[in-house]
Amino acid sequence: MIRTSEAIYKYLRPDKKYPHVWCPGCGIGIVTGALVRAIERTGLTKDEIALVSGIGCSGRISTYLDFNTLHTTHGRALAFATGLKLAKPSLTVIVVMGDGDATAIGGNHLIHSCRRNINITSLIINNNIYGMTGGQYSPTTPMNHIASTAQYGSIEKTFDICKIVEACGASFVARGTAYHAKMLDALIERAINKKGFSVVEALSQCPTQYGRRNKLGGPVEMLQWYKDNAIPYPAFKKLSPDEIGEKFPIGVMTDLDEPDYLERYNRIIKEAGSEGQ
Amino acid sequence: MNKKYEPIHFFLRWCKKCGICIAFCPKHVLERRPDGYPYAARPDDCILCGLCDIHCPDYAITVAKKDEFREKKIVKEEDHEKAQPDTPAGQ
Repeated sequence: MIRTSEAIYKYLRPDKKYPHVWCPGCGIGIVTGALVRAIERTGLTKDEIALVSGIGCSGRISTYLDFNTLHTTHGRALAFATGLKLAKPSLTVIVVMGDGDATAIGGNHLIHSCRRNINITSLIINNNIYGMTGGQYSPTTPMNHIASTAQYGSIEKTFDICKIVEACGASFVARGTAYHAKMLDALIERAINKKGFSVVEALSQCPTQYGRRNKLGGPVEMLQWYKDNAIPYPAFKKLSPDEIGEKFPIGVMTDLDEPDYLERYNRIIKEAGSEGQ
Repeated sequence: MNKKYEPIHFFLRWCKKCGICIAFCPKHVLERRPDGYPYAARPDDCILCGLCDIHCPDYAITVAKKDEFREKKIVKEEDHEKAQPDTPAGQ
């Protein structure tokens, strides 16, 4: 097993201010550790990786990690990443987004990237709230949970990110949590090695904006909740509707082998090139 | 304390006192100091699983590698034997 402490100092930018900006007990630090361990396991060099991020707490990851990084506008990380991948297909493009970033303002880009099946790895860090801007409710805030813009509880239904991207045609869909950090780095490693659009949803606790408002306790209690309620996907499928309750599946949910966008695009280039001769 | 070797090292300048390492240690090795920072209260119980290392959001914990620990432990035991006057060391 690779420890975070072995890998992290190799990839952190030394000229940034530490400790990092995330709140005490924030899960994004744990997920970043898992991302770094996964990259260490794939054996790719810093120059072979492009890390693209949007806006939000998760957007800071690209500031701290020493790869080719692109810190883009809110929700448009996948749009920038698509252009980057088409311009330089040799790069391994990893996109880090938050839940509001990926499913609210960038929801359109997410579903169409899945449909195109372009060879990009996207890591969606889901903390159930817009943390950086003051705790507004996001599409993944659970119903009846309080946010700064939903003082009497959110009345909207919740997005299940994994089901959406699965339905839109992503090649690899998996879910991990900040508590299952060891499993998370194995999932991210598989997603990076996968050809086609791969999505890893990482559930991460936001103790400051989400946990405190909803009286879910501190980071320890929130991680304990993940530990108690996460069930491996094959076991989850066997549960009856009464048993499910608050429980949610983790692990690999979809793993397809389909031609990706660049493969189909190169075929068109070949066909169109041979036409004039 | 038999083993003077400390398996867990805390980089307190990066620590934000969130308490995750203390709560999820399977052997309850860690405890809070009065100022809130963690410390290894029972380092002898540490099994070097590294869970505190991978769960630290601030990368402030380093757990020694198992091989290093074993090597040091073996050396210590040999030293201990040599120190005993009755053992036939060197024969």
